[in-house]
Amino acid sequence: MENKQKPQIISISSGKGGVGKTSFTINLAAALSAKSRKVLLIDGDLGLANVDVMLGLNVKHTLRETVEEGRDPLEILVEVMPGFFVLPASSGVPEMASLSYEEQAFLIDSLEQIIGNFDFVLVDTAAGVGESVLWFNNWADKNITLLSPDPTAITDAYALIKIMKTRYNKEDFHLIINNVKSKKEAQEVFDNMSTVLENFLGVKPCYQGAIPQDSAVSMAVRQQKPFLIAQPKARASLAVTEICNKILS
Amino acid sequence: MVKVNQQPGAEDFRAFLQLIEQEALRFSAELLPVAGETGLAPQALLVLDPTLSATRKGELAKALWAASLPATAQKQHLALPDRIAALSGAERFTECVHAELARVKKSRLPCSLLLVRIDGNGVDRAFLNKAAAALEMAMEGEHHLAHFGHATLALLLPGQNRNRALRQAGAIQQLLAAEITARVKIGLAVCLARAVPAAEEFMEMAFTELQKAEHEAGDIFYSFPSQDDDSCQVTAEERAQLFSFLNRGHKE
Repeated sequence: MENKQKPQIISISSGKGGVGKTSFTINLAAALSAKSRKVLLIDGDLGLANVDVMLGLNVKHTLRETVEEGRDPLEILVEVMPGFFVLPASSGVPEMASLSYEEQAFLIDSLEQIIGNFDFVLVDTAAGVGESVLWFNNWADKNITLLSPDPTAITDAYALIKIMKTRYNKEDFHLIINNVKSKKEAQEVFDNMSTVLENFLGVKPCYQGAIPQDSAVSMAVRQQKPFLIAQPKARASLAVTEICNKILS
Repeated sequence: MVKVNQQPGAEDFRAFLQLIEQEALRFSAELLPVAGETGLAPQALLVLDPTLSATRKGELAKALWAASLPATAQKQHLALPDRIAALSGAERFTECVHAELARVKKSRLPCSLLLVRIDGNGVDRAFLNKAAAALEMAMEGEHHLAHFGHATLALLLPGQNRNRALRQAGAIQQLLAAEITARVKIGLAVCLARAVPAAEEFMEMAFTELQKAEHEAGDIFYSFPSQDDDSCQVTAEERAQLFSFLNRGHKE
């Protein structure tokens, strides 16, 4: 592949696990590639990866080999569909979840060698606020924080944003409210979060959109397919397409 | 390559070598004092291109001794590179700290600096060499060790936060006690991305802590940016506001 220009790097995080980061990220990647954009999805959950599981991929190589053996990430790439590529990570490898400073630097350098081939780089980060989550968020141009209307998800999303603002001087946060009953509920969650962020951290987040509760989501997970592909007319699929359009605009 | 041979035991020769060392600081050159295997004071100086590898430096040192000593003496004085001389001096170390702090700004990862002073009256170069050798065993990839004055070694720890650096300091203390039965005093400074000081200021912070360690009770002292500013703990007030909309929902 020929190196072109710097793509937009977007990290997708939530703090809390189980909020729907991976599901959202693979669907956003599918939506962007459907709009003729070349997308690289990096599985940023380096020690407990599951992007490959969600997509039903039979992975031969992972980012572990890049870190441990210096394997070129291009050799690891898996093309899921035209324009949608995945860099899979390893699962059940605790060492990968706590990379040393040198390994982190090496991984980021290796990734920067290949991202010029893409229009968008999406990083599906691990749950929690571990180091890899923080440095992937720091690396990204745009930080999307996913939260649901649950108090735990709200608190964890806030905590993550607080860390990124306090320690990394990040100012620009984009919120997506997942698994909502209605647009009204999503707006309430966003407005409240926005008020607290502004009051305590001086941060004005951007409302990136909401994804409604939809049985198509869990069905697609079981089918190991993006719901956007399995059920393009589902409410969740339409919501992701709307978010995709907003990102492109 | 410049070679200076000594008359063994002559005190003025040591002063002469020190003079050359001081003069050489003005140039882009590295000095490699060549000591006997017993670790005595340097008996010759190599002035080297700083880009040479450690292996090549060792080869040159051996070649020098092979050329200058009688065969019988070669067996007794098989030249070994002086570890201390192979380390960066204070000037080059400052450059290294400067580069690392620039990287902290970019990577947003912390960086720690340890100044390790070998305690005791009888600390000579041979003893310091042993300490450096022991410290090298505890070092990892991007750690940087330097000679920071008479009996002081400096260790730069990129990416290490306060807790890790304190653990490392404790480990160094134990290691040096076990390996060379030396007691050490350690001054530690930690730099966070939100408040990156100048290189000189960062080293001064560690040096201040080292002085505390020398004059106050306790062997390890550290300087760390105020905890209040750095805390990301979600407070009770923040939580109350985060959940306020849920309560409103119940009331409605």
